[in-house]
Amino acid sequence: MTLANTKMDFEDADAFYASLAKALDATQSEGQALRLTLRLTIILASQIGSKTALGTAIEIAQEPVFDVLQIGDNIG
Amino acid sequence: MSPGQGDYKRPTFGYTRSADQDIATTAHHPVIIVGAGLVGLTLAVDLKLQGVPVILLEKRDTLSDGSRSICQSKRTLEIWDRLGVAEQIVQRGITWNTGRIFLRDQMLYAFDLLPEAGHKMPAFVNLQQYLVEAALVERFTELGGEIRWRHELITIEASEDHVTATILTPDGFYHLTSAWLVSAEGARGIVREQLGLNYAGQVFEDKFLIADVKMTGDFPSERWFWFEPPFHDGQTALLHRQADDVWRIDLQLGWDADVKAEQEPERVRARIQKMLGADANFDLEWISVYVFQCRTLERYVHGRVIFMGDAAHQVSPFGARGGNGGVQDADNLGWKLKRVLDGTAPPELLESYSLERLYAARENILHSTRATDFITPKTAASKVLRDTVLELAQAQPFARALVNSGRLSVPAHLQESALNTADEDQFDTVISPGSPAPEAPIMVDGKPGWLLEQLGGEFALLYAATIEDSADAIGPDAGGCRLVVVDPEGSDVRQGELGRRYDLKPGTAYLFRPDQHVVARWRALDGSKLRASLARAQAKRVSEV
Repeated sequence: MTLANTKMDFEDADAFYASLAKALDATQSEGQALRLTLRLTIILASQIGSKTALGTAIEIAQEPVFDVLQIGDNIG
Repeated sequence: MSPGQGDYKRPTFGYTRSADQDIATTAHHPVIIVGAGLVGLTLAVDLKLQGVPVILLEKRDTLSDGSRSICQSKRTLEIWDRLGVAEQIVQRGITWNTGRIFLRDQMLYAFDLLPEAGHKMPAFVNLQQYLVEAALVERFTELGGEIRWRHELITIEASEDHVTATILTPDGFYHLTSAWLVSAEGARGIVREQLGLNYAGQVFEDKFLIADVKMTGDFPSERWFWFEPPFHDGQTALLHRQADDVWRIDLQLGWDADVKAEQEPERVRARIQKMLGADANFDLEWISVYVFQCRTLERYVHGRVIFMGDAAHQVSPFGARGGNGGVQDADNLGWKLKRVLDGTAPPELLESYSLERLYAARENILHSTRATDFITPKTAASKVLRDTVLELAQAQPFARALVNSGRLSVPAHLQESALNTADEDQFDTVISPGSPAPEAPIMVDGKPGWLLEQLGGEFALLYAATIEDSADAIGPDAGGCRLVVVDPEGSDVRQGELGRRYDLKPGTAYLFRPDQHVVARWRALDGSKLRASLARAQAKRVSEV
């Protein structure tokens, strides 16, 4: 299962989270999981028009612990 | 460590020889319940109130040790109110509606579980399980019920029309037969083992420490949950207030914790001191390290044997769905067992118990498993997601919906039940046939009262009509239902919560089951519709009513 073929229930936050977690687990890579998570966060933030959410997501992305992420690598 | 009752002196009931042990033949009883925990006791009281003779077997001679299931939900309190014990439990316990979620030392957000007025019961009352059991024992005894303490079920033999039980007492063995035997023994019950039934589901390896602490704390009466608190690195913590200045502290330990070492009082004391501060004074009341399962039997009725509570299904403690789910099992079973025993409903009615409560258990397991997966991410990837959600939730309300520290117990809406009559009319409500009846204030003989009190424990009809109109529509006996007539032009309907929650208009009628679930509703009622729905709700053919 990947994010691309995961059926997500956006009405049910817990179902949405569960399907997202399941899809991320399939990546078997912490770095890749992070990239996917942040990509999704940024998409969500854009969808709801929240600059603060966008900023927070980018701040998290810039934390040094996540050095596997290539910032600016087409995550938007 | 003490058995965990604090200042409360657990009663010892002692063994009493039963008259059944002195007769030459084997005594027969309509119902035997095995296990006098809060679930078995709830069913016993319910059956006794309905006039069903019931024997309750318990291998111990006292109440549960440790506080165990402390969070008694609104629906559970409503059930106990019908049984006549809720007032005592509410007065003795700690009422709370608010929860707070913390990330490290910052509060992420607070939530209110009951943000609207017009309910008799609060969202939750925290009360130690042994105190709840004490109230139920008192009630059952007051009703003339018999609990056989130190009567331990050893074997059962199930046949087509009865169950034979072998029971061990300090005086030796004796036998009983019963038309129905209900296992409320918990997860390690002998009945399930003897029938060779297995649970299906997940066993979780993460270990958690429960410490009940006696102290005079200045925390409010709220549920507080921490992710990665500064006093417990990288784990989670939960704080609940209980009666008698006892506080439940629940600390995540991880999958590799040493169970024995973690229960050493000095180690526990150090952990609690770190949480409460160096100056905090407290006494340890009860310590337990637990792991948990989210699993269920595939069916809860096996011939003449019925399972409920933890004997039927188990969940993680996050969400308080274990004890509350079990009490709702008892609520669902009591009226059905009564009617099948009376011969006023066919045995198929009990199959609906199995189907409905299995549906509820699966819902509880789903919520419980999701909460557990959030609290204890199993992979690096899911931990990344969890941590990202927590970080975002600090500033972003949208992310808070994804934070899951346990979705707290609410009753199942049994929309798929075959006992329901499908809507023919339009209603602007969040409820539908199968839903638990929402509480609402109602004027009774000019005095303020509550709808659920009026519904009681029988089939009941809420009808927005005059008495004369109702008699014209459905006959003077209302199909044998308890009739709750409300003035369609009165303030309860026009301006009140009752009118809003049920979308009442002149002529609207709701039919409720004895466990206070909506089973049918109409905008205009006639006797034939009512009789058909009553038949369906009792698994009868329509012609039988």
